[in-house]
Amino acid sequence: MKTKHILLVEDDMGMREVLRDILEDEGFEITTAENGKVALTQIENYHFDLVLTDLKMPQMDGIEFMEYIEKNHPETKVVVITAYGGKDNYTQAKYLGAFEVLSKSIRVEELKKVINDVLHRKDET
Amino acid sequence: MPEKKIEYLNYPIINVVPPGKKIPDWQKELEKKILFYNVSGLKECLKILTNKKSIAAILCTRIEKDKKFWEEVKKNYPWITIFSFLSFDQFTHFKSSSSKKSLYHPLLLYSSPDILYLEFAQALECYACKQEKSLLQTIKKQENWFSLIGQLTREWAHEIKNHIAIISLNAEISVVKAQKLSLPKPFKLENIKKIIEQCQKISEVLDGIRGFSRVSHSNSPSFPLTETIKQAISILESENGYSQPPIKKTMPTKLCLSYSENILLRSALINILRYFNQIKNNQTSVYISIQEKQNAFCLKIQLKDICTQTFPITMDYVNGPIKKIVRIERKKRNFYIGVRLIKSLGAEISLKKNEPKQLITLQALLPCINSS
Repeated sequence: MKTKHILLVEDDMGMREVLRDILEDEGFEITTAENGKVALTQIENYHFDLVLTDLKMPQMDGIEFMEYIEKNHPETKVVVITAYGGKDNYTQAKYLGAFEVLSKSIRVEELKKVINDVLHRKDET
Repeated sequence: MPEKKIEYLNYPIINVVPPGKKIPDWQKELEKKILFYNVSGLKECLKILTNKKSIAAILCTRIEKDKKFWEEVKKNYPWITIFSFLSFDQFTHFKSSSSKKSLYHPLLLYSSPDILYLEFAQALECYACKQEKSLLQTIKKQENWFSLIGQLTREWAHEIKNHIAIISLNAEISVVKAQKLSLPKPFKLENIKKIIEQCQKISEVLDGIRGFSRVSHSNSPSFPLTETIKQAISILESENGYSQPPIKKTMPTKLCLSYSENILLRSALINILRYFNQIKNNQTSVYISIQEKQNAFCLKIQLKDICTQTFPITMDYVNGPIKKIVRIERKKRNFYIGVRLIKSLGAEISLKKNEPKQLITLQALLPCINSS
């Protein structure tokens, strides 16, 4: 089975590293970007099965990045991971097509489960 | 039974009565309506000024003798009106020679209590008006301050939560990895699990803090102007028990008011529209419109006055001392109190009546608060 390729967009290096560790451990191929702007070039050059993105980032935030994905790569599935667990962000992210909106206080097992579920759902569609 | 003091007249006036002098008769008469603090000298006067913050006026004699003292008082307490009794000659001289900005306000010696009452009431009202304005400013400052604190707390909570998440996730990975390896006994996985548990708890606390501080500066609680008007109308509806009062509205605006402005304007509108109690009989309609202008908005209320009695349209009731409207009929007084409340929001008021058509038009040009 082909390894799933995930684009991880997160401005905090510590968070980026730990998420990369968890997901690589699960057998995914991970490409990282520190903000939406860098992520744009990545998404234009590579195919990703899933994008895992933060919302609050410098230069280009997650919402702007998701708007771009929705417009230019509607087939790409997005999962949002954010410390801002507010209803507004949840609604906006969902409106822009996010499969899931996760809190940064998520447990490792739950994160793995959600990512696998979303990728599985993607295969079904 | 003593006459009940009007609330705003409860701000005290200091009367400097030199030792050995009796309290004048006019004061005994006015004490039924106005609160006086009698002091025997400047030292005592200063003591009250320093300790009491609500002094509206001071009554003194021999002002020229202690000019330096009174100049200091005026400098430090500019909102206080200083009254001084003058003889007829002094009074005439004062009126002809004094510049507009005088240290004190002259009172003619042996004036009747009625005249003195009017003079004092005006000073007290002026003071009350300043107090009201300063209260509104304080509320506005507090609103801004609280929203700023909220915004900061939210940002901090977000930053801390990020780091807590990193600690927690790393600890979890360590547990998973350690479980795969056969580690020596002294290495207790339970300790790391406790770190994870505590991180989760801190995270929950931070969520709570962020929940409380969701108000950001740019998102400070704001109330759409149109909502304020609807609220006022719905309160009147419930008062009168009518499902559809004939109130027409043109309100194509996104303007917002702050919490205090919302309450003030709503109360003003209720007062204004309450006069037109006759709307309950569907005999007349009220037309309310809002127009957005640069840095301001124009609130227009037009109503047909069907009262048999002539409604007094005069700006004196809007700009003049409040005592002028104290004696007019209650409903009409409500109308003018409402207009004055709108004015206290910083509005430029225009009030006109078209006699043949019996149309009253109230136009208020208000500074723009913010737009959503």
